[in-house]
Amino acid sequence: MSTPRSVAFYTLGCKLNYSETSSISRLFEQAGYREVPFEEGAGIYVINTCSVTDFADRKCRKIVRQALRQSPEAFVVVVGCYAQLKPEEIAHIPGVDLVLGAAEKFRILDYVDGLSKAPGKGLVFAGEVKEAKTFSDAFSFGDRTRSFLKVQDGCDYKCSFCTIPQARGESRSDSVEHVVANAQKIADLGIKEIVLTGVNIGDFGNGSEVIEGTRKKKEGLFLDLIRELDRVSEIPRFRISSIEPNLCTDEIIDFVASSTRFVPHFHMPLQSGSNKILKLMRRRYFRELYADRVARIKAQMPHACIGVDVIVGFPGETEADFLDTYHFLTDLDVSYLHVFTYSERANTPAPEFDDPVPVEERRRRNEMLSILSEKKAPVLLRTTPGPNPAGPF
Amino acid sequence: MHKEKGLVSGFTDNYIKIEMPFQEGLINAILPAALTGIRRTGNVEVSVAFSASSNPLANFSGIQTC
Ligand code: SF4
Repeated sequence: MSTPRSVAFYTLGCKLNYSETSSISRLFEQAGYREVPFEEGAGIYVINTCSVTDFADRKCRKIVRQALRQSPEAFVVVVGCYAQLKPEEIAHIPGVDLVLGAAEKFRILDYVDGLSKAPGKGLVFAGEVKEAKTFSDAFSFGDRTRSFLKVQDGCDYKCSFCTIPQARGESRSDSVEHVVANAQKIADLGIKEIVLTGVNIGDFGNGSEVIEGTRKKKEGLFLDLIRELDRVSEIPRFRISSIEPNLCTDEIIDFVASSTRFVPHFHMPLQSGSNKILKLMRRRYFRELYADRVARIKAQMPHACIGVDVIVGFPGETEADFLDTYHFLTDLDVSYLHVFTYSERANTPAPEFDDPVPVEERRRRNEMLSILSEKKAPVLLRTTPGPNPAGPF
Repeated sequence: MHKEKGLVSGFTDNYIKIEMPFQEGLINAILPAALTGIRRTGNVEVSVAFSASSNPLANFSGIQTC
């Protein structure tokens, strides 16, 4: 049964969404709401959605049903990337009362006050994504012993498969000073590890143009940020969630190697080991740059963990292109792969490209790289300092 | 954290997923640890020392419940 002014949350997707849900929950708390577990039955359910996962629509419907099963009279509010991309579709899901877009979600209290259960479709407040220009800070706290600290949002890149810029808007960042203040707040809560999150965190301070040499540096960049955070001595561990290879500069690698707080763990999206496919994907590097980044990391931190995102079955990816990727990854000194099967996304250029790969073939390629990933994992154990583990590999 | 299964889990600095039998003092603690084996789950088993100075193996990894 629901309690009046109680709220429950459900988060789909990435670390960034977790940090934002946590911040939205604190807004409710400050307004006098009580957060309850999802299964307990709440007066308001907030579902923070993702557009990257497959079947976003089906997942969203399922969670709405689950919420209403717990508490049939509850108000259901849907926010997040999928809410920005498909607000009207979501508003038609039976039981959804309110849909908030990227620019509106942190003003959620303005919308839920006075919300009434109306028959028919839910209310929609989702403006154009270009209106999402301000940076809203966020960090997670409570359900984990690590905190995901949001430092950047949005993306100015134009990868041909990606809907994130449409869901989150242009690249914008917090200030170095404010992130440090948030890290201090997190330390005061007793948390020991902070994971820096964002959509394209290497672009912090719009650093891409500075790194690419097309603009002079004006504000603090990602390197400046991690240097300052390294001084927050109450946090023994910082982790960088994911950084584009073209933005993972020598200086960043060297700094992490010399830091006692930033851990030797890099997650860098590769997406393809074929230069032809990288070009079609409109990525901003070729495989040679990626290999160079890995070599530099490993030269300085032989036990560093390097994780890789790869997409298989992108339009135009022939068997030879896929094998290019496979062999490239086989030779690369990395620790694990996150393998994604390409799926067509509305309003992106890639579905219009020639030579789509049959779905069965996409799955086979995913399977091959997943097996390769399993083979990679034990190598890190052998290179980690200390006694080697005795278990079977 | 899998207290109900009698285990705590976490990550080393270099992101190896580790677990070991539950002990109260491990919650939200970062401690020196030695990798000792691989469990059926694929996670790595560790032993920890509660004081870095008393552990000759202590310089590389930690445990944190998750
Ligand atoms: S870098 Fe590319 S894949 Fe990543 S969010 Fe930006 S557009 Fe999407």
